[in-house]
Amino acid sequence: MSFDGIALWIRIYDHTIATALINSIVSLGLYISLRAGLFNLSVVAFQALGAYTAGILALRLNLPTPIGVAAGVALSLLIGTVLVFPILRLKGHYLAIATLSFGAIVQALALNLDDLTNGPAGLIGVPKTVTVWHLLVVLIAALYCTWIVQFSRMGRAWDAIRTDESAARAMGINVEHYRLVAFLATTALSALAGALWAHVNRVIVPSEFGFGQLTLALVNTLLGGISSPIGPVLGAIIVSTMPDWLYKFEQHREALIGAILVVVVIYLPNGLVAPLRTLKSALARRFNRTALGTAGK
Amino acid sequence: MLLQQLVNGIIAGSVYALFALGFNLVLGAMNILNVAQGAVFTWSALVGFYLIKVYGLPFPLALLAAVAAGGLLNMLIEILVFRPLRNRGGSAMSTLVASIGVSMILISAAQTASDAQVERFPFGTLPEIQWSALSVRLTFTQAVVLVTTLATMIGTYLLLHRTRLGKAIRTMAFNERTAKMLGIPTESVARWTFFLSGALGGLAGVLLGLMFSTVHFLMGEPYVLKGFAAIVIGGFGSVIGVIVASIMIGLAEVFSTVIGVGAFRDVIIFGMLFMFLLFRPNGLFGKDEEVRP
Repeated sequence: MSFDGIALWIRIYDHTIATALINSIVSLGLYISLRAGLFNLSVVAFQALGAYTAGILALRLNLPTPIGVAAGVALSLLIGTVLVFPILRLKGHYLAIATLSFGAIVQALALNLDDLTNGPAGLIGVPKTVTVWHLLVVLIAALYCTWIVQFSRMGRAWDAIRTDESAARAMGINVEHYRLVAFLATTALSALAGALWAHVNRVIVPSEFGFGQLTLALVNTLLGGISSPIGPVLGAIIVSTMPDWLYKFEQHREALIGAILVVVVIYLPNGLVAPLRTLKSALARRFNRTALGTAGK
Repeated sequence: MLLQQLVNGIIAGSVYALFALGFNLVLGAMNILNVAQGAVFTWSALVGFYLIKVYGLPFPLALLAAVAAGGLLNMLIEILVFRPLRNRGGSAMSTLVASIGVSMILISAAQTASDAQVERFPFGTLPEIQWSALSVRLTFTQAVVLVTTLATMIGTYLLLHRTRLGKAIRTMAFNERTAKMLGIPTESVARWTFFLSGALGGLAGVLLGLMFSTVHFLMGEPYVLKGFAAIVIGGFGSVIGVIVASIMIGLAEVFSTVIGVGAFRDVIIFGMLFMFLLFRPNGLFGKDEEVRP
């Protein structure tokens, strides 16, 4: 396929690809929290904050897109910083409930602060300044950073905290510090995805930032698996670009996503990446053996 | 007027309490936050509605059948989803995610079954009688709701504190391994805990559907978050606390409408929930023990 061919293909499937990329960024954000053992369900709330900030700045003040997006991320980080200290004192279900209720507050405000958010009708006509290429660059950058961090001291600390918090603490890991960084990284990525989405979709409605969106982020992340940053991106791309035959069941999409969640959690707790990795290492072993065998002759 | 709102708030709050009690039971005994309870609530309301509208069953029978349906559905979820998950060593996070998945399946099925229609219980399901005293009006429906709710609360309390099953559930809430060592059949107690929880959710579903006169496939969703709020504000594992907190939530809703900020009532309730989580995570009546991981 020539470059023109690829460009045409991208133009046809522009919106699907953009959705997949945005969802990938959000899922990557959620991945970081889950990796650190934080059941942080505030991703959609920060997505909404980022989207509304960028949208309002673009529509009301005619500010250029980069400034609006940066402001969305900055505001979310500011709020995230205020919230992070009390939230991180909580554990397990309590952390989930706290972050979930933060999401409910944000959605209720988006629905009811009519002067600012235009209520249930939403913001319409945000300039479409963000293209698939921008999203791709952002995603690759985010993926690269996550990849690097994963193999650093930070990533190992997250793994230790997730596996056994007390043991991690006993080994001298500053649990609070690493969880705080994970929470804020999730906040920043979700807000970034939200702000970019505002400039992709052109319309921001509060109903988009509800429970459904959250479950979608969970499905993406868990389907791919949290053993590698490739996991959530793979999950997001699979779910967002589900082949056409699935769209025949459009009205049962929710049930389908729910069923995937249940099956994955019970039977595939490490996600799709884990079996792929086993396959890869099995193939590698086999290949090595043959290679060695030939070398031996 | 004010007194009337007080009564309305208390009645609404007491139904929320039924729902939250069911939530609390499973959270306490099994350490599972069962989000699918909202979908069970919806299904019970739908079952009750169809039994009355289509099959013309009298209200008490339909109510019983709907409650049983809720209990059985919840039991089925335990058998098909939570038990396999437990046997495979799922974490608290994976049970919550699984329950979110189950909830989506059930809500989607409810949407198909009800054709996404907003239904209402037929006129005359309960006699249209009202009493008034001291400028307070009480409809027959409200009276039925109040009596049923009170009886159920007392029943739940007695069941938990006066029966063998209740003792077993409370032992499991204390520590599942201890319960096993004492010879308690934890698997069957778990099933019955889920049944009870679903039945409480189902009862709340039918009563709220009757009181607000609407039944539709998304009706359960707001109550899940209200249930969370009631558990946190009331204090983890405290029956009295959850009831008090639910009534507080009912009153907060009614009075936020009275003072003209009704649109922000969700913000107020979740703000309350948030404040409690931050400053008093053990809730109003919770004991000062370490928050469970």
